[in-house]
Order: sequence, then C-alpha cells, then structure tokens
Amino acid sequence: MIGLADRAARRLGDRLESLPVLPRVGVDDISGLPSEPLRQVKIDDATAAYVAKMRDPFELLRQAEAQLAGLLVLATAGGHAIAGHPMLELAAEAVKQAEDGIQTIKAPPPALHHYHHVVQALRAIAQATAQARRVLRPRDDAAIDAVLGPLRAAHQNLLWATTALPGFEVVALSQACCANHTATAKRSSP
Amino acid sequence: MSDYSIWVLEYGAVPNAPKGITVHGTFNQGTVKLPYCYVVIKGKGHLAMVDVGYNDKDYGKVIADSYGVQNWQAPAAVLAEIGATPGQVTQAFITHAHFDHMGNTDDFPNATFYVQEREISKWVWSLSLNRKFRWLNAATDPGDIMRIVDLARQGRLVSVQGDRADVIPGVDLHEAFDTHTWGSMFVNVRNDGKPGSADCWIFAGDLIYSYANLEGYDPADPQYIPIGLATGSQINVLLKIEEMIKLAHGETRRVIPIHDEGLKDIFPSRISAKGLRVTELALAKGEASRVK
Repeated sequence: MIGLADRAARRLGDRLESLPVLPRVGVDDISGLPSEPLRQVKIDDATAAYVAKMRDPFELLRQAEAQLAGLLVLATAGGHAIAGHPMLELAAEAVKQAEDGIQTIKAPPPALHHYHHVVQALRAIAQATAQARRVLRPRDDAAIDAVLGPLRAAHQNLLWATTALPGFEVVALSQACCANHTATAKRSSP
Repeated sequence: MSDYSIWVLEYGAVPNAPKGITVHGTFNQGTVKLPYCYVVIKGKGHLAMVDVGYNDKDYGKVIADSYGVQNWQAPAAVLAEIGATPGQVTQAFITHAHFDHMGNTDDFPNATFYVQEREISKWVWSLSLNRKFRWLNAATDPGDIMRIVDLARQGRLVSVQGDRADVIPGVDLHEAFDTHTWGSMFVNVRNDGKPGSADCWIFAGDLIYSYANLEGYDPADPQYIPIGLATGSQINVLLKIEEMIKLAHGETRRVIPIHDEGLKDIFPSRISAKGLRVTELALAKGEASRVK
C-alpha cells in the first residue's frame, strides 16, 4: 500500500526538478556542499521573511527525525510495538505538515542553499518514514539500516541547513544545561 | 593508598556565564567562568570516564560562535594531559543524555557506555508528546539518539536499572530519577573499595554546578540551593544532594561539581599548554602526578 510518506517523497521530487543551479544530493550522498560561513550571509528583507516562514517546517522535520530515531532505539532494544506505534504516525504527520509548509515557501537567492538542504532533509525523512512503515522490525539489522541510512542523511542535511542561514537549530542549545544564556538572549532579540 | 587515580579534565569553557544558571536565584549577580569537564578514573585495569562531552564536529562552530564556548579541545588532546588516549577508555558512565554530556561517544571507539534505561525510555516517550511539550527534549540531539542505536547494535550500550554497585570494582552508579532529567545518575568511586567508605569521590553530573549548591552562601547556616534547570523535581534534586553528602560522610568537597571553576582552589591543578585545567583528585600506587 502506498503510504503518506511515499506520496510526500514523490511530490517533493517533482518540485526539486524546478530548482535552479544547485546540484542534487541523494539520500545516500552525505558529502554535502560547502557552506558559506554563517556570518557572511547578508539577511535582506526577503531572506528574513523566508527564515520566519521556514522555522516551523524545519522544527517539524527535526521533530520527525527525533521520533524516528526514537523508534530505532525501540527496534534495537527489541520492542514489540513498533508497527502501528503512535510515534510513527506522529512522525508521518510531522513530515506531511513540514511538506505542506515548505511548498508554500519561495526561497530568495540568499536562501537557496538553505532551502536545498531542507528539501533534501524532507526527502530523506520521508523515505525513512516510508521504510519504517514497511520494514521496521525489532532487532532486524537490515530493517534498521533501511531506516537509519536515510535518517542519517536527513540529519546531516539539517545540520548543513543550520550553517546556511541563522535562526535554525537541530539542538536547542539555549536549553542546554550549561549554555551562556546571556549570549542566547542577545541572539534571540529582534 | 587509592585504588584509582582520578582527574577532572577541562575541555572547553564559557568565560562569562550568568551566575544565575549555576545557583538558582542569583540573577543579576554577575558572571562566572563555567568550565566544561569530564572525569577520568584510572586503575584496576580500567580507564573509565564520567560523561564524554559534546560533539564538536556537529556543533562546535555553532557553540563557539553563538554561545561563547571557547577553547574546545578534542578528547585526544585532553586525555594526553594525563598520558591517556581515547582508544584506551574502557567504560563511560553517562550521567544524563543531554548533548553536552553524551554527544561525543564517537571519539571513544572501545568504550562501553552505561546510561540509565529510564533516561532513554523517558526520552523516547517525550518525543511522542504533543508539540507543545517540545521544551522537554529541545536539548537532546537526534544525532545522539542515532548514536545510541549504533552503540546498542555493537553491544556497547548497557542500560542500567537503577542503582548498581561495583560496576567496576569500587565504583557505584546511583539513580537520581526525576531530577535534572528523568533518568539522571551520579557516580560514587569508593577509592579503597570498602563498603560505605569515607574515601570516596562523587561525580554528580549536572545535579550540581557549584559547591554553593551544596552549602549555600552562609557557612554558619548552610542550605541546599538547586541549579536553575530541572526537567524533574527540584525537591528530588535537593534530596539527592543530601544523599550524595551523606555518602561522602558530610565532607562536601568530595561531592564534585565539575562545572565549578573553584575546583582549582581546592585540589592540585595546573593549566595545560592549551589553556585547559587539569585537576587531580587522587593518585593510585605507582601513578605519577599530572599536575606537579
């Protein structure tokens, strides 16, 4: 049965064909692209608007990634309730919401690099979700690898996205035990 | 004579962290240097660590640029200060699953990692909550979760069920559930191997950041004061502080706050050529000092 995540992956595949310039990065290729140092990116109004719109989809992708990784922990530890696990449906829903949000966003030139990595991450997480629906079984190394591979690619693309534009975090460092909250507050100020 | 040599090794620092994050309530009282450290326990054929720091490959530049963490050094450079290498590490006791304590598992390829099962299971559980609860896992790294999967598949992850005595001889793990995190734990090194020993060293992870958490600010009227951040209960934090002090037979200096820059004023220490502090708590027979 074709799942929600499969349809999501195909719709994004169509959209990727219309992206200008940037080379494709497949889910198995995590060599990535060089990132411009964050401080050198000039944030014009259009880019600031892009950042504001993309934050929610990015956070949804991060959430889905974490949930799928959590399912892998359960699979590795031999959990018996992975198929139909509520967290799988939560991840799939997060992917769908992220995709819906990303589809409404037009990336201005300074944001194209970031947009590329977010889209790559979405494709990879969508693939991981589809694999988790189809094959994830407890303690089945091949099944776990089928999910872990694209999930790692997604994680790497999210990390690269965080270096392409400010305002995105894979880990909320401001919530860390030992973060310098003074610096955090200054960063968060409009 | 001590069974183990023990060092607290700084691997980076925030030079001007707000004091209020270390002792709750001390807002607008200036800043303190907040060192990032891990602990090395050497002896009886083991080279064990308490926590392994954060993954600089993924976050180093972000942390350095945005949060003021300076002078991060890789484990190879840090452990070299005590004549050890990351490949020699045999066990790592992870006090809790925040990224800055268990993020660097990749750098210790031969270590077995011990973490409370409750920490992992509640962490995964928190991911299934409504998005409004996302604060609960904001400081956990999805990459760390995937690294746990790898460790488990390699047979290098031990899920600890509560208290565990003699995980290596004379070293005990103690649960600190529902404190800083759901499944935090602290480590007690009984350095003569005797049950209930007063010759002990307690490593509290992030249960405490400073001796002020253990003693307050009035020597004539001591009190326990928690740090600011607790996913669980501050009452439980204070109860665990008391438990740790009792294990140390009331000698609070033996309950080690690794984030306290004041360790250098209490224990023999030196600053390395890379500008990082090496603090020496104990030396086993035949072990040369690394600070003198």
